[in-house]
Amino acid sequence: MQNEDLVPIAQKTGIDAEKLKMELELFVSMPEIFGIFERNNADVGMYGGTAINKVYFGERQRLSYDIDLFCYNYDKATSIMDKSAKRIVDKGGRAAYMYKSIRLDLWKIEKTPEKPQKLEARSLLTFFGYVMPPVLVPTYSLEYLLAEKIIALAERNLLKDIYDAWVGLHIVKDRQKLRNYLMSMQRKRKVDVLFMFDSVIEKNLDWYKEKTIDAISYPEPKLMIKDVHAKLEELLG
Amino acid sequence: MEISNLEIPDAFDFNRMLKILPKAITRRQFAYFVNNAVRKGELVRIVRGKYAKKSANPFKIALFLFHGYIGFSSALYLLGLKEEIERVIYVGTSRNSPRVRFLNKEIVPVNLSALLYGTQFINGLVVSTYAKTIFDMFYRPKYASFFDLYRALNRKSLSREEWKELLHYCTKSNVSTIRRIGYALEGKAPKWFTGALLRISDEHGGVSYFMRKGSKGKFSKKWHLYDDIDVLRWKNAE
Repeated sequence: MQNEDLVPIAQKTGIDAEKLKMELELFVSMPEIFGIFERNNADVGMYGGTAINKVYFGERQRLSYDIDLFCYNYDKATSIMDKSAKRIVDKGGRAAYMYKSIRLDLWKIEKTPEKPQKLEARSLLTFFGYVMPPVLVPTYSLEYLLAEKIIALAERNLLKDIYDAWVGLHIVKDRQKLRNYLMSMQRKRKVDVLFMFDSVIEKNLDWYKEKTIDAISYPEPKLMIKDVHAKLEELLG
Repeated sequence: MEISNLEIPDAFDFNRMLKILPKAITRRQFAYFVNNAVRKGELVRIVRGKYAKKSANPFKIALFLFHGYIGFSSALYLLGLKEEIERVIYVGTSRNSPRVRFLNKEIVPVNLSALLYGTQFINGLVVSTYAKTIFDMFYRPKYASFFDLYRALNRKSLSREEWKELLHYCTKSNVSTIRRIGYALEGKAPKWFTGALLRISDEHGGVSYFMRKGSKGKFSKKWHLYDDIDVLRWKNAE
């Protein structure tokens, strides 16, 4: 697909065609990447912004095209990936690769509270008239991904995390499950998710304008920050 | 790409749109295209640099312009607690902005400053929750329709969780708002709720006014409040 074919979608979404091309590349690369792991019986689970947006947020998803993976057998997963992609970061327990133009982050993990299940990931492009089949990816429940996201938000205060937490807290059904995950993650990672709001800086506003679709229905960051805080207070209070 | 083949979203900002369009399209060409569409009646110029399709959903336009949430009577309509579609659409915002006209609708931004939160998604729109809608009406009574509010409450009461949510907003608010809520919702709210409001508001002296400061009306000794609009006349609205 040429950039020009993406121009009508860019006009509808308000996202630059160059960025939409990355989205397209993500959906071309994902079946290949997960195919490699599956053929080699490497157990992985996708988490992070891309997972939560593409699997659960539907039309409300934002652009996100890096893949974060929990690897239950890290050595095996990295040795498999070494054959197919270029390793760009290698720290103890974490490796990053460039698979074509997609960044892939592999994290070593012993176990997670739930096992990944194969769920459908849908591209933003499909909601704006581009025909593209969904991709099955091994990932976690919305409650688990959202809890991870909220903890990440507490640790780094990024606006994109606020956005994900805001949408997630609006659509999550099993609030008790989310609460349990949050409580246990807070204890383990030694963070207080309610405390972070004193230090949230409204940074990355350019990111917000460029990467959220359909500027029509998204509120200003201030509203999202307060909304997330109030919902978390209600949930954890 | 032909300029005449451009697909235009329901609402857009001229400058932002120009950045997204192929580089071959110049500012002058795009301005010509937009002006032409406005002349033909396909597009409407809402404010300087912002345009919308004539067929666009006015609630979406309200959010596009102010990036807040749909609130007050407009939220009651979207919550299904009111049937009449009104000429005015209320949007909660965090700053003062002038009203805007879009076709036959008037979009009224209401500054809720620090209390701009408490939302849910309804049909792709960001709308205040039921509890927050009620709170906002007492917080900014100038923009409220108490007939709509009482009728909504008579149709659907708040759940325990929603009363708790309303109490949360009260604790973040001023004493006048708390007194208005306590006074107007007495009999409709559970006793623990009004009791909690009384405890918070009793700590403060002085009197409050329902709408206009200094204007007298029925005085409620319990809530230290002058009801200058006789709000209780709508209490049994159906």
